[in-house]
Order: sequence, then structure tokens, then C-alpha cells
Amino acid sequence: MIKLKNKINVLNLNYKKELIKIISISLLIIIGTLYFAYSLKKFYLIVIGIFAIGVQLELFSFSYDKKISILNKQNETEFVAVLNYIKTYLHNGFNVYKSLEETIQYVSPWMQNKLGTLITEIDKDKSIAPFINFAHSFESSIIEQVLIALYLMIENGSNDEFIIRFTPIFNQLENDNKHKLIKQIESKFDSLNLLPVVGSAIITLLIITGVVGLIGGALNGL
Amino acid sequence: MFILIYLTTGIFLNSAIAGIVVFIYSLFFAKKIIKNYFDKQRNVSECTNFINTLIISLSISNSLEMAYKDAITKISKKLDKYIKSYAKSLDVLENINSLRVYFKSKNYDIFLNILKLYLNNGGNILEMSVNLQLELRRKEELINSIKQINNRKTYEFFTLWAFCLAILLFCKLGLSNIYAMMQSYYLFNYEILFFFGFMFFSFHIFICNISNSLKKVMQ
Repeated sequence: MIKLKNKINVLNLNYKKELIKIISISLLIIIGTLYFAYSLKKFYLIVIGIFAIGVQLELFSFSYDKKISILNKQNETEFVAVLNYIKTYLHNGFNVYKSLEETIQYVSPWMQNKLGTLITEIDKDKSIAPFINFAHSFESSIIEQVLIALYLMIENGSNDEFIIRFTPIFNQLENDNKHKLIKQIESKFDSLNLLPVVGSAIITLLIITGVVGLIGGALNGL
Repeated sequence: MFILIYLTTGIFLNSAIAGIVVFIYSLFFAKKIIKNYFDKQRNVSECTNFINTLIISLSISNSLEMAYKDAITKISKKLDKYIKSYAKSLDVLENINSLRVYFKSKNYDIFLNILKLYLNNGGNILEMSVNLQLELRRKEELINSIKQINNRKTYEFFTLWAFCLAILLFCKLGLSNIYAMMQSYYLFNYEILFFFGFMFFSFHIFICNISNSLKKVMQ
């Protein structure tokens, strides 16, 4: 349950609402199971009911995991755009710190929060640590390299030559992100293309049950 | 949908209800989702064109008025209507600023910032906005790739469903006697209705997915 709470918090969802959703479904399962177990006098159904609640919790946990993974990918995609904004400001003579400050107004609330923390930490700590902490908010290791490059720009000055030197890392991040995004979209479509296959399976079942019914009727002389 | 359901079940009332549901859905929901999808695409490409034309024209003429005039020469009717109603001020910069509500793009906000820097400090606008132009190109390329995937997958999805319906229609028309006998079981027609319900549901998910695919890039 603690794991579930952490996942809900990561997704920035209302914990109470989610809990009510889970409890209501569990209650429905319990009531349904008890009703059938009592009316059919088959008490082993209670065990199936308990198992169903466990499955339900697992399904919720799985759906939160999936949402977290989508959110992480979205954040990485946003970071690529943010990086281009930072590069725009660096190119126009702003330093890394000022570029971060300017960029913060064009980003999502999540990124605003993370960039805000980064700026505050840079104020207190002039080492690489704030950049590494910020990089830990993302799964991609290339983002860490990019942030190290940004830190080095603070240390060595952010002139154009320096930006050009780090261009391969920036490009790698962009390409990596593009491939991930396209792969994610394609895999979603691939899973949706299974629906017509399920549709064909339904038709096949319909025909089979219909034919079997006819044969059964013929055998019984109907 | 009505014709298909009526042809396969032969029940007028159920077919009519399903037909009305599908009609209402297409008219109020699907149309809106599809329109939003194309609007988003058009908006991004319009924003990119506007920024690029303005930057290039500004770098050549060094006049914001001239650059703005060039940027709004080849625009959509919607943008033209917007400019005529909301961006009709005499001050060109104010007009350019007011377009941020229309484009609703972070790239456009960055462009406004660069333009402000250029007007205050001078410099070469083409040089100043080189990274922004790269970002615009990157986004447009990404949208084009997604568009290609969407088109390809839509074609696949509809072809698969067409084959699925072809099986059902073949049974109805090719094996009409056996089909009629199967229909004598009252549950059979409801099972067919369930199949069409499932098909309708899958179309809805598919349309939503197409619309969501662009959202991933639009942040």
C-alpha cells in the first residue's frame, strides 16, 4: 500500500480519490462474491473473491507504473525542448544561470518545480551536485551528460565554441528522444491493431457457437 | 452502421438505436476530436511559417513593419480572421504580441523574447534565432513523422476491420440459409450487437489515440 501511495504521489494524483476508487471496487467485488457464494451455496467463491481483490490491486499498481513511465518520457521530451530554449539564450549572450532563469517561464509546472530547485541549489552549492540531482529526475543517462556539459559551461564560460563542442551530446539526446517517442507511438498503435483481430475472433466464436447449436438441434431432432 | 447492423441482425429497433448513437457520437465527439487534431497540426505549421518568414524578412529589410506584412501575406483564413479582429492595432509589435494567444506555443513566446532582445540591443536576428529555428524544424519533423505513422496505422486499422466485416457479410450473404437458422437463436443477434459495440468502442479508442499522439510533441 505504501508503494501504491508513492506511485500516486509521483503522478500528482489525489490520494484520497484514488483510495476511494480502489476501496469501492474492492467493496463491489466483496458484495458480489458474498451474494453469489450465499445464493449458490458455493463458499469457495470467497477465495476467488479475495484473489480478485489482489488482482485488482495489481492492476491498479500496473496502471500507475505505466502512467509513471509515460510521464517520464513526456518529461524527457520536454527537456529536449527546454535544452533548445537554453541554447537559444546561451547563443544570445546569456550565461547558464540566467538562461535557466529565463527558460523557467516557458515550461510545465513539473519542469518549473525541478528547474526552480536546480536554480536554488546552484545558489547554495557551486559544485556539480545540483546538476546531478536534477539529472536524477530523468531516466535517460544522456541527460546526465548534457547537464554535466551545462555545468562545465558555468565553469569555463558559455561561448559559442563551447556550445559547438557539446553539440554531439545535444544531438544524441534529441535523436534518442525522437526514436523513443516514435517507438512509443508505434507500439501503442500496434496494440490497438489487435482490436480488429479480437473482433475477428468474436465473429469466429459467433459462427462456431451458431453452427454447434444447429448441429446440436439437428441431433436432438429439433 | 445502421445498414450494417440491420443487414446482419434484421432487428430494426436495435439497428436504429445503434445508428442514432453512432450518428450523435460522430457529429459531436469524433468530429471535434478529428478537427482538433488537424487544427493542432495547422497551428504548428502556421506558427513555424510565420516565425521563419518574419525572421528572414526582418534580417533582409531591417523593418519590423515590412517583415510583419511579409509574414501575413500567405496565411490561413482562420489566422486572417483572427488578425482582423484582434491584431488590428497600428503598433506592429503589439499585433505580433497579440498573436501569442492564437499560436499558444512556447516557441512563439521564445521568439517574442528574442524579438524584444533584438529591438532593444540590436544584432543579427537570423543569427540570434538560429537555435529557435532548429527547435521549430525539429518539432515539425517530429510532427511529420507522427503524421506518417498515424496515416499508415489508420490504413492498417481500417483494412483489418474491413476484413472482419467482410467475414460477417460473407456469412450473411453467402451462407444465407445457415445464417438465418443461426439467427433463430435469440442470443445470436445480441452477440452480433455486442460485436458492433466492440467495433464502435475500438474506433473511439483509435481516434483518441491519434489525437493524443500529437499531444506528446505539443508540450
